[in-house]
Amino acid sequence: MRYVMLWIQMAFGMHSLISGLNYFLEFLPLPRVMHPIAGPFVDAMTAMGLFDLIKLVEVLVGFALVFNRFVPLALIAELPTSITISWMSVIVVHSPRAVYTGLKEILFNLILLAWFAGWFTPLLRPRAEGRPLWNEWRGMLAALTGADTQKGATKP
Amino acid sequence: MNTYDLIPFGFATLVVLIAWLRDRQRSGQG
Repeated sequence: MRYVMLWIQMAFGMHSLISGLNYFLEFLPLPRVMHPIAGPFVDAMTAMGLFDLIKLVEVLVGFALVFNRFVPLALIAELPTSITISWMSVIVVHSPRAVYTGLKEILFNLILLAWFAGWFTPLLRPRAEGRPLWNEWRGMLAALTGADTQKGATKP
Repeated sequence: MNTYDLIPFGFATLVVLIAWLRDRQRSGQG
């Protein structure tokens, strides 16, 4: 199972990295969305500068997954983009190629989220008290540097 | 299958192959 998940993580990560970097560097031909609804939607996002932000997140997520750093955070960061891409591809554009791309995107993201689900346990509390950044930053910094005890970690 | 699939899928297969070989080597030593 670990090898399957590693394969999905690397494939999803490298895909995000190539897709994101290609938007800025154009080393591969940029895919154009020719659909009457999805095309103007992408054009409008590009005109607003929102697509730049999405592609920047995609690059960061790509690096995180490929170098195996901050993977649960990267998977959550990519989820809104995955939902948008898959909705646009599967529901709106609906060509065989788009359905394949959309399903691949959302399934890879969701399968990996399921594999790393244990890391999201603290988010599942029905009633949560405030734990503000200005009180918690030391613990967060410790987690960031790996100085904390990594309870519940899935051994690689 | 286009370039957007070939590179990620090829890369992922290579990484898994390396991980599997390393695991095999380690279990052989242990």
